[in-house]
Amino acid sequence: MVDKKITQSVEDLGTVNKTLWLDLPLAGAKWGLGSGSERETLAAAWKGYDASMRLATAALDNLYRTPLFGEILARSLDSALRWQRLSNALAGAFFTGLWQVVGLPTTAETHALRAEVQALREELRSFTTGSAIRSGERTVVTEPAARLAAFQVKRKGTGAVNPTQAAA
Amino acid sequence: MLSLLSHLSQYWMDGAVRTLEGVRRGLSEPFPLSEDPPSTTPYEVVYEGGKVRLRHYRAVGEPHTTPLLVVYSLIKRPFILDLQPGRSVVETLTKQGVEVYFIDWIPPLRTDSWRGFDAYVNGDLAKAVRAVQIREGVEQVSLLGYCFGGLLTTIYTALCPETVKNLITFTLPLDMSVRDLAMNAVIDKFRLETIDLITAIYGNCPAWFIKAGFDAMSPVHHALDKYVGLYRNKDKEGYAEMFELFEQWMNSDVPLAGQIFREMTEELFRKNLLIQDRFQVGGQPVNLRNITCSVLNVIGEHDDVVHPKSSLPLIELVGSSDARNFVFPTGHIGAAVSAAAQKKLWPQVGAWLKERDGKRAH
Repeated sequence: MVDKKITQSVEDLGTVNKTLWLDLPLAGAKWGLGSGSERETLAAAWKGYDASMRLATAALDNLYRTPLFGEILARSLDSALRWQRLSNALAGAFFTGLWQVVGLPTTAETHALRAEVQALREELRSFTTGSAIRSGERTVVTEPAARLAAFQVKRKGTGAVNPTQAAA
Repeated sequence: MLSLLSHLSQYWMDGAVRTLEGVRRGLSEPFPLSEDPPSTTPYEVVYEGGKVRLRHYRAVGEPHTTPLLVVYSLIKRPFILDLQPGRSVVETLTKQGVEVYFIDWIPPLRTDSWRGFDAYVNGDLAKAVRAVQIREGVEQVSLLGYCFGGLLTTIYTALCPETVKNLITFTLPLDMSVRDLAMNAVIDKFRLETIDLITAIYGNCPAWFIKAGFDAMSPVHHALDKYVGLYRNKDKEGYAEMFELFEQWMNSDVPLAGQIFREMTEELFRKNLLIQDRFQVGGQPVNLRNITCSVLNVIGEHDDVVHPKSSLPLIELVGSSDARNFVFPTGHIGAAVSAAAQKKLWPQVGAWLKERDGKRAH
């Protein structure tokens, strides 16, 4: 597998060099003299480009496999995360007091309010549908016709499976 | 040359906008699900609970007896499986008579950082299976898991084999000892402390971190080659439209709940406990030999995200007598969106399901 990759890389390097120093100048010259075509020149250029992309990918793969690179990246990430944690803590300590002075609600307070509204909504739905809804779960039938059908089935008490209850 | 440079600069700017919008979405709480592109195949949402929004796509024509529950990965939005007419896995399956149910995972909030494999498998996935069982009036369902979704469905089937008739896995990251991908060498250098720092700061593994990881797997492609490819194919019908949709999906990373992120990196990636039958979920050991249903393990021959060798061992480890690998000449996502996959792979998946509809593996 490694031999195959090295062989491919050597081939690609050869292709890139050949394209740069031979194929492209030759195709360009022929085009300029009228005996070649733009198409041939483009084909030569794209061949070289594709080979250079494979070479670049192989080079980066080799870089990834270098232990030092992985070590540097891991340590850099650790360091960046520690600084971010510190700056988050500093910002939290500074702004928490400031928010209270200014009178704006914090994110936590907004989330708590949102959760309370959600709970009230579920309670109201349970009164409307007459079925018990477990905390943290709700069943939804989104299409209006299906929702109405589900409600009517419940009202008529036909005993048919009610999608609202089915998954409860 | 001037035309190429002019087009490339425009493509780069568009790409930068898409990336930044992806970062914005990933940082938003809650994740703005409404920004997904419109669905190609019509569906109805039939159940919501935990982090699951269960969709139902009706079969066209005479439906199979056994419904199929599709479980996609937790870390990207699932619209890749229903991208365009003619490039939709869901559409292809429903046209073959498969009654498709589809888990649309609701991205976690910071307060969901406690969710691990237990919550997702024994909680969400189990309830989704139950919902399908009730709606369809069946005891068993077929499961199809893609990548991380394949991991979830495999673990679930090992824990609850009596509820699963057929298991299909796509590009399953099973044997984590396979380190053939270059990126693995970098990831191996990350310490447990790094994971702890990430979850301490963000609660969950942030979406931008996941995106950075995916982009780092093929940096040359993501930085340059895909845009040059777009230029070279700009006159090809449908290419630009498909590229735009695909790029939207590439920038649809969602956060991964903190606990499952920890379990994934430490217990599966580092220690490889699943393949050794030492992995536990909710205190229960996960033994792959308990999987006795029919198993189809689809592998992308040119997969550069999950190495094919990582997926291959599944059929040797399960207890089923009807288990096979199906290696298809495609990449990680090509199995979902490529024209070849739509024409050749998914019809075979449908036929495999049809063959086993009503039969039971021993």
